[in-house]
Parts: sequence; C-alpha cells; structure tokens
Amino acid sequence: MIFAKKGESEVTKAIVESFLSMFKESIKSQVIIIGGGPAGLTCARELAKNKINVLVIERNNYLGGGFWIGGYFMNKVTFRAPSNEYLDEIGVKYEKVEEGLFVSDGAQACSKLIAAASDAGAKFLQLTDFEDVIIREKDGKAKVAGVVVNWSGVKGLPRQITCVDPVGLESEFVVDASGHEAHVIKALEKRGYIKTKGMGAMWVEASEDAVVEHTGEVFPGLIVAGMAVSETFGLPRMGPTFGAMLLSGKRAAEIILSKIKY
Amino acid sequence: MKLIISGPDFEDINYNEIINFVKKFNFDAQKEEDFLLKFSQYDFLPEKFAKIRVLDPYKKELNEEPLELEIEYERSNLKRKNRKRGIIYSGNHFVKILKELLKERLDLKKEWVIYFSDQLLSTFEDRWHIRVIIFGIPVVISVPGIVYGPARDREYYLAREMGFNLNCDYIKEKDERKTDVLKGYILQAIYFYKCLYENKEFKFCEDENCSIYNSHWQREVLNAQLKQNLCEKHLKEFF
Repeated sequence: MIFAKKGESEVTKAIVESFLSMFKESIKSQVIIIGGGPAGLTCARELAKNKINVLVIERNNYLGGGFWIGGYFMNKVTFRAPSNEYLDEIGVKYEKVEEGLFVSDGAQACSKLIAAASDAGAKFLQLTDFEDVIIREKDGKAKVAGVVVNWSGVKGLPRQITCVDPVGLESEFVVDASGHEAHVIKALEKRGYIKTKGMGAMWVEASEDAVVEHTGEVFPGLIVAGMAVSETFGLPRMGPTFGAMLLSGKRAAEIILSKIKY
Repeated sequence: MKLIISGPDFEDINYNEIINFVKKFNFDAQKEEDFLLKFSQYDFLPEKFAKIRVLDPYKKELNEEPLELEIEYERSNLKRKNRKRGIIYSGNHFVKILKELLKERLDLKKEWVIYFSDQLLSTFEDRWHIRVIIFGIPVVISVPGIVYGPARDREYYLAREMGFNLNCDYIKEKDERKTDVLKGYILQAIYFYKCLYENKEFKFCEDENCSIYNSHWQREVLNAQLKQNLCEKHLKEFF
C-alpha cells in the first residue's frame, strides 16, 4: 500500500476542522476583499505580505476571475509596461510583443498570482456570494465595517426550498474588487450612500492609467479597485489588458496600509 | 497682432518651431507657461473639471455630482507637468473654464490665445465625438485628439475586429509629425480669430488640400493639416 491508512471520517474531520479554524479566524478580519480576480488577488498578496489579516471572497469555485483568458476565449493575457515589473516579482514568464506590450499564458499568469496571494498568507472563501455591506455609524458618520455573505448555491435554488440566512463578517476595510459588477458599491448605492457613473466607451490606451489613478477610498472603510473603479467613476472601459488590474490592486493595498490600525 | 500659445510640454511637440511658423504670418507670437499649471492652486478648479467629464458616449449629461476622489484626481492632475489621461471632457465646457480664468486678457483687439491641451476633448452631436480643435475664446487644441479624434479608415477597424492590426501610417501617440499637424490646426485657429475680429462668418474650406479643411479622417489630416497648405482664397486671408 502506497498511502497511509485513513478512513472517510478522518478525511472529513480534517476538512471540517481546518475549514472551521480558518472561517473562525475570518469572522473578524482586518481586510475583506470582494472578488478574487487579478485586482483582488494582487491586493490580497500585498496586504498579506505586510502581515495584514486578509480574506478574499469569491463567488465562483475558481479564483482568478477573467485573468485566465485574454479575450474572445483566447488564453493569452496582455500587459502594458510597467505592469510587467509585477509579473517579474511573482515569477510570471512573458514575451515582449512590441515596445511596452507583453503577452503571457493565462494559465501560468493566473495560477502564479493565486499562489503568490496564498503564499503571502491571504485566506479565501470561495463559492461565497456577497449579499450586503455592514454599515456602522459613529458620531453621525457612516462607515463600511464588513460584509454579509451566503453560500453561492443558495441563489440558484428555488425560493421554496432555500431559506438560508446569510452570515456577517466584520473588517476594518472592505475592498470592492468585484469587477464590472461592482457589487459592494452597488449595495451602497442602493442604500443611497453613493451614486455610481457606469462604464464609459472602450478606450484601452489611457483608461488603464485612469483606473489606477482613481483607485481609492470611495466611502469610509470601502476601497474600490480594478474594473469596479471604471464602473464607479464612469471611466472608459478597457479591452483585455490586465496591467491596470494588478497596479490598481497594489495601489488599493498601499492605501489600506497607510490607514490601517496595527 | 499678438498670438499667445500656452500648454504643457509634450515630448514630441516643438513649440519653437510652431512659434517660428506663426511668425511667418506676421504675428508677434510667443509661448507662455501652461495656464492650467499656473492656475492649479485655485481651489475651485478641480471640481469644475470633475463636473465636465463625459460619462456616457451617448448621453449629453455630464458628471454633475462628482465624487470626492474625482475632484482629488483633478486636483493632483492639474498640478502635474506630465498629466495622466483617461478621462474625456466636454470641449466646450473646457473652453468656458479657460475663458473664466483668462477673462482679463481675452481681448480680441490685443491678443489671440491658443491653448494646447494634453487631455481628450469632445463635443456632443448625436453622441460625443472626440475633437482636435474646439473653436471658442480661447481656441483649444487637444494634442491627443490628433491621434484619437479623426477616424482611421474603415479597413483598419474591420481588421481590428478580426484580431489583427493593419500597418497604417496614422499619427501615433509619440509622433514627431504632430508639430507639423499642429501648425495646420493653428492656421484654422488664426482664421477663426480673424473671422471673429472682422465680424465674418467662419466656414471650413471645401478644398481638402487646404489646412482650413475640416478633416474627419486621419488620411485627411495627413494631407490637409500635416502639409500646412492653404488654398488660393485662404492664402489671401493670411497675407
């Protein structure tokens, strides 16, 4: 026999105990990131590297978002300088297409980024849907103080058989890295705290700069990163080029690091 | 007449060459420091720019309720020597802001002012269209507009949709030819001012070889503005 003799109960117990231990630690995190795409993963890595307790919430089972695919089902992802420097940092191989433009294998780039965030110490909750924000008021000022989540499968089941209440997770900061859908921002908008602008026309050449430049604290306790930035500010939308996602995620982490209480 | 040209520095724009070109038309031309950099300390200015952002290419409404981060972006961008891009602004509102800032010196009898912007400007017709030149007082010329305003040939867009790039000779982001193209547009600006000054109606030229021609396509810019020719009628207007 090659493998150690372990029964089903021991295997299940290992899964449950390990998951619950992680989940218990995550009930109160320093930072919760909604969306495990390139912006969310980069932000998670940068924070975890700095010993910040960070939890990434992803509604799919797989992490990486659109980072696996470059556009039109073609699994090559492109980057414009200087975002290739971040690829060097996490060990992603790439080729130079022309001055300032690089192409990489989606599978390698995405898996390296997931591994980099994980290696740094970020924790993940997949198959988890963001449902709402937790708002706390102090001295008449509202602040985002966490998120309400549920198992993703709940939404797909008929209402009659799913009366599954969500749970609340608290944090000092929430990062909306949920892409075009900007789930957290939209939840705030629904409550009348903020008004989003919707995404503008496609203009790759300069919209990447604008996404990075507009990454920031859009509401007390809420940082917006990645494509959610375009949705919030009505910036020109981007084509399949990922540099801004990485640099926006990095910038979001820098902003949090400058504000977080250790 | 005195002609003032203001704007930020551009890697591929030679202001001296443009000033010398204008002087050939008997103008006392001079370059002034970037007006927007000069006025960037005004506290009201960032919000004004945040409010004139185009949000949707098909909706005339602008960004009437800017978020704090948008205002902060404008504040820091105004102060930059190499400004970031990525926002499209309403060109006519851009001119209005400059007009307010420069009101004391926009006397047509004394000097004509042309501002070179490093941002993308557009005007609304059926939708927002990116423009190179916005006629107003002052006249504003968008330098990146030279690349993104005039359309490329249809074949270029078709090829792009099919996933490959046609190797066409259009004006690029970093392109030494922009200085010459700007000379062509400066002729339009001067002609516009001249019409205002003489109380005449400003009309574009019908001759596609004349710099006063309204180029809609890149290939037309490469002919009409790049070569800085003037038709017989407009040549007489300048001398």
